[in-house]
Amino acid sequence: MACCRRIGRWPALPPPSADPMASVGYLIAAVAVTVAGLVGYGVTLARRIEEARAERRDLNR
Amino acid sequence: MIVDDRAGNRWRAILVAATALMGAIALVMVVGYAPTDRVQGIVQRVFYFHVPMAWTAYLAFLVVLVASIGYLWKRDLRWDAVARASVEVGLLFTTLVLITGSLWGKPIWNTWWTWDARLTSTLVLWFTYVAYVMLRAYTPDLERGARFGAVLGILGFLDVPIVHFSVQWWRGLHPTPVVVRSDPQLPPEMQVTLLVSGIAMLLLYATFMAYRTRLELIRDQNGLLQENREVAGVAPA
Amino acid sequence: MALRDVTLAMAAGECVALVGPNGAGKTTLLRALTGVLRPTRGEVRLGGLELDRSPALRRTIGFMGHNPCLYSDLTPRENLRFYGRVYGVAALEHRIGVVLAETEATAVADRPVRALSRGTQQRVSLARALLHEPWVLLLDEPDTGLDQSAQDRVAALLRRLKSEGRAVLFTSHRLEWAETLADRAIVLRDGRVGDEIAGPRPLALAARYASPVGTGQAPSPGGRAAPESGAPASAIASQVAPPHVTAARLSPSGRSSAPGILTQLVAVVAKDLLLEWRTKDAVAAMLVFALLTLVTFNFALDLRPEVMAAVGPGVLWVAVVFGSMLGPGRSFIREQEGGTLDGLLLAPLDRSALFLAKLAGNLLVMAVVEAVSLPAFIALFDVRGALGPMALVLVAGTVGLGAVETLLAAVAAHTRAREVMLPVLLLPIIVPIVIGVVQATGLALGSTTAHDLPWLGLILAFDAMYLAAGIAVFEYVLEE
Repeated sequence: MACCRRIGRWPALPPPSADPMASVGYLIAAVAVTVAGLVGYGVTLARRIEEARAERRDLNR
Repeated sequence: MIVDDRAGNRWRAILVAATALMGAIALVMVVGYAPTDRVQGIVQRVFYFHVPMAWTAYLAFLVVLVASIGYLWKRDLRWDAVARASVEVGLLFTTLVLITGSLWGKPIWNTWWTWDARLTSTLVLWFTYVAYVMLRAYTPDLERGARFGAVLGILGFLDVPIVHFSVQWWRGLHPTPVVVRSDPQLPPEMQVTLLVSGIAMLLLYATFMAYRTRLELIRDQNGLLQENREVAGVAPA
Repeated sequence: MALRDVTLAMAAGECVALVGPNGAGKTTLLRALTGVLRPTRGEVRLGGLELDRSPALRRTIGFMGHNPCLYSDLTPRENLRFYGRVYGVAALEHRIGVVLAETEATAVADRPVRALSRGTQQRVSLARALLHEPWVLLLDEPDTGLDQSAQDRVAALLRRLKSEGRAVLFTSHRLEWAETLADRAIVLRDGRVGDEIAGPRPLALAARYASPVGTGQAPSPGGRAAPESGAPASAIASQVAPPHVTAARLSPSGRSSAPGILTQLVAVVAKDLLLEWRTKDAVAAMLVFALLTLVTFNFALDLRPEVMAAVGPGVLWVAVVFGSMLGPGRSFIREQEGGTLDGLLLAPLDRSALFLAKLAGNLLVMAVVEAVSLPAFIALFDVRGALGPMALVLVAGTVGLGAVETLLAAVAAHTRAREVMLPVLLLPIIVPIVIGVVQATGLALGSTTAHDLPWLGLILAFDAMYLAAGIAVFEYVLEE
């Protein structure tokens, strides 16, 4: 059952002596995705509300 | 004539200000105040927004549950508007949790994904959100969609803990190292930063919810206005 | 179309005509009076008892609408037998003969409904409405599509029902026909009661209302559906008082009593199985799909014997899950497309009981599919192991799977995506049971040394939870 041994095994941690800044790329990527996601959502939300309000003005006429 | 909700606008503006303030403080603390983890290095700082977003994702689903029960009980579509809003915001946060978690996991565990209980149940939560969105999209009748959404909201909420439990039990058959943090106890600076960050994320959720619910309500109103015009024989706007 | 502030009351032995232009809300009002359509506000009462609160009260109502509520693959006799059992009609076969004779449908009683003309189907639908001798008859355009002599016969039938002390409310576009029958007429316009015309008879409806009522075209409601829920105010109350009213005596006739739930369940399951037997709609598809899945796995995975014990249970259960998904979906889609779901909602059938009945039918069909798939699996992949425990796990897992599938199939059937929607809803929810049954089956096949019982416990807990959820929640899924 060699094919099944990999499932569920927790991969090993990197050695503690590694450079703490080595993984900064991943941190930047994570931050970028988060900011893009949250800010982008907020912006589109504001735009959608504006559109809905404009439509309401039209319908009220 | 339906006018805008002036009092509501003021509260929403306050919420935005509070979120911005808290967010700024959290950002400063995450960048400057929190110490760098010995074992994981700088990427550990993902923890300060990944974990709060995970809390928020699950909180959003709890809100969906409450709104679903509320709708089935009261039959007021405003409860349904809250549910719809919380699903969308919750889906956003869950997606970000999965992606940031993956980006954190790669340098730490040398893998993009692993099927442990927490990740698996978060993934199932994500699929449940998506199923909700699809269900609402494919149910043209609003009232019926609200009922169906409420049923799915309740079933889904019951399901996620069971998924977590069964995966945990299943994985318990294979030994797994549990170490995620370098120290068994978080140092106080980290705890405080996490707390501040958590509050900021919660405020952000509340802000998104306030505006998103407002959007649903305006859209529902527009729908009714549209119908009334058509029934009265007025040309579509 | 919304109704606004409609209040009407009827007494026993009264015949009331409901008239109005198209789109005025006549059909909506009738459906609300049957208890199928939930009004946003207001209530419907029979003899002082709220219709909403007790499904059993629906036995006193007979409804005939545009939709005949007949199963097109069954004969009129079989349809009536089914409804008779659900409504608890005594001396059923005799009674079926009587109503078929009354509606002149005896000649076609043993031909499938799909082979009958629309007019004949309407007659059979009327027979269905009369079968359980209801106190209240709600008839939506009973004269449509009938020639003059047939109209006269229907009119005679309605007069006879009236003389028996029943209350009849009917809609019609033919005012001359309506005024010969009705003691009273209610004119509905744009969802409101425009006028009420009481005796003495004849009511001279045609003379007074030919122009505004006859062939007026109201603007059709467009835009988003569900205007009923959004309507500002709508109050409906209807009172019908059969002589000497008490709850106990509110049975259609002295002879029959309320049907037991078990009888009703068996009736629904038997009807579904009969339909399945006639059409072979679901079983063939499910079986072929399950077997093809098994075969496909052989090419997708390298299923050597040493790997089989670890991977086999998963292969089996994926085939079962995907094959079984086709069944419950088809069952509900068929009810919905055929218009017979309304018939079930009209009946004095508790929604939770309906859930159990549908579940039982689905489980029986799934059992047939598994009875073939399991031996095929064992044969194709040369599987060894404890077959007894494996069969037990199969049964336990199928119950939970069936419960979730039945509930979600009812949801999916009402969406635009239908069969596509069911896997999307189903698969996230059944993750725990898939884990449980695969583990338990694996143990039965002897691939690990841990105990079987805890996994069986998880499966049974899942089963119990989703059975309870289905029973509790089904009425919300089905209501109008």
